[in-house]
Amino acid sequence: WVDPHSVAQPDDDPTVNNPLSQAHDSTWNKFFKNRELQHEIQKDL
Amino acid sequence: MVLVLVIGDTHIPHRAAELPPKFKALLVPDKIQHVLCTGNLCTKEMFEYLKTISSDVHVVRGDFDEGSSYPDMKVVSIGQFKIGLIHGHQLVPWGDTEALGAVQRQLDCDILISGHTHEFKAYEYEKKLFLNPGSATAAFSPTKSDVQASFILMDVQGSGAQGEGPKVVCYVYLLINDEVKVRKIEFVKS
Repeated sequence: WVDPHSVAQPDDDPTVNNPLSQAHDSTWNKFFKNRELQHEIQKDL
Repeated sequence: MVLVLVIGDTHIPHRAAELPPKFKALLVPDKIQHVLCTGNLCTKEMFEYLKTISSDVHVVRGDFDEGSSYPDMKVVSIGQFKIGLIHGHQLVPWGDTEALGAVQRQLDCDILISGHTHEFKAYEYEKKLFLNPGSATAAFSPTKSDVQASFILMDVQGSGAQGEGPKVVCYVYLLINDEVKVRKIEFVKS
């Protein structure tokens, strides 16, 4: 579980780390990918 | 966490052919809960496009939204914030801080969003937040020669743990030399 609010990197660059970011190491991107996966699991159960 | 897209003044097809492809690539479905639009969409197609981003779309009427039934002003409550929305061509002078302040008091909102000037703005005035997402297509403006394409994404949060008031984090997306640059602005309701 990744909380995009609490995980603030020291070099938090909003161009990389923003809610619409598609950058691989963006916390927001990880958060949305996890949520998508969770929805997928919910559907499968 | 509620994500709110603030966008407007696209002027398609009169002053721009389409939304910049780099913006379109960012605006994917299933991320954003609400869309607040400052108007001058000019066509129904643009409204339909916004509907694909989020099912909850609020639009106010711009001076080029002819034949539409959008209201002149609107107040939307999201989380613990009352957000006012107006296109801004009604104000004299356009984009004026005091004129916008008067609208904010009339609507009694915490955040006032306006457009029309095609220039991104975010500032606090009398402890309220004023936002202008600019034009998402960098559409021509009679008052500004070098328009940059821009929009805003608000992350509306609840109260903080240390008795801090509800917070809004605004991400400003600017297209500079065909590169998307993002700026971050925070506002805490007092």
